Amino acid sequence: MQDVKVFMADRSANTKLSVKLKEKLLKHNILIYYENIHCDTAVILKGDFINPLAFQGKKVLAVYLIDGAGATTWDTLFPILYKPILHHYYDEIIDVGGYDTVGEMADEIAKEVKRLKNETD
Amino acid sequence: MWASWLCQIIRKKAKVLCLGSGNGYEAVYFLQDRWDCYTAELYHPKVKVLKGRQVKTFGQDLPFRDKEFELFFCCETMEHISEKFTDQILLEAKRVSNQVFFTIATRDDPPFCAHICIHNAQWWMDKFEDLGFDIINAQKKPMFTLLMMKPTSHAAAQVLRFPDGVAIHARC
Repeated sequence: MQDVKVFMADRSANTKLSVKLKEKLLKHNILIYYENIHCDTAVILKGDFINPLAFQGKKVLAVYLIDGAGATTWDTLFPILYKPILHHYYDEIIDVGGYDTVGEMADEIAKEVKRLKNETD
Repeated sequence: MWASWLCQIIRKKAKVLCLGSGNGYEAVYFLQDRWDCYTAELYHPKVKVLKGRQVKTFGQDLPFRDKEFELFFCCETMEHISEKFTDQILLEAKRVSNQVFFTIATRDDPPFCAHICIHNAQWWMDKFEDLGFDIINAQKKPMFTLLMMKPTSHAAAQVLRFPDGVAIHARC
């Protein structure tokens, strides 16, 4: 069983969406961390200025966003500019976007965390 | 982001030096676009593609030959370095390359307070000219237009303006 932790950049922590996501993930018994803590697999929720290199072990980027039009985060500045090179910094990239509700998104993140916990190297 | 723009306007497979590359995002971008890119930085992130291309050095004394690089790229670094080294670094950039591209923040960065050399855009442009650079393009509060293709609809253009800073592209 892998030790999997979920992280978010603290600059992103207080947006409405982030607060809602944190509450929904708590229902799945998943805590969000804002500082680097050792783990086997770091699931990093897309946010501002989070440094992927600060994390040890496997690094997974979970890319998400829900905006009013239901667009995914691949439409916004961060992924467009950095998407071509993200695979150099993350072992895996999960696109969690495209859901209409934060609840559905949290369910998907929880499912991925469970999968990662059961992975063996 | 600046790397992707420069890749469009400067000849391919040129040799590039990135000073103060940090996590190496721009350097990785250059390499992915098949430029011959190296980094000059005190911090060496463990990124496979950068292996063998990271040189641990100070900007004021670069261990490279004259005109070894086509482009000297320095993004958001100069404001973090004491002003007493500014001239030396710029002259080293001029020595080792044919052209330079700098973006430099022109205001403080609370709460981090990591900007220790803060001058306005005109000061930097005058500095480059005084040191003999031939400025091709300089922009105060640089902006660029990003075209995005949304998956379900038409293309959208977004103009991005940086609230501070100056971008300078110059020949050496």
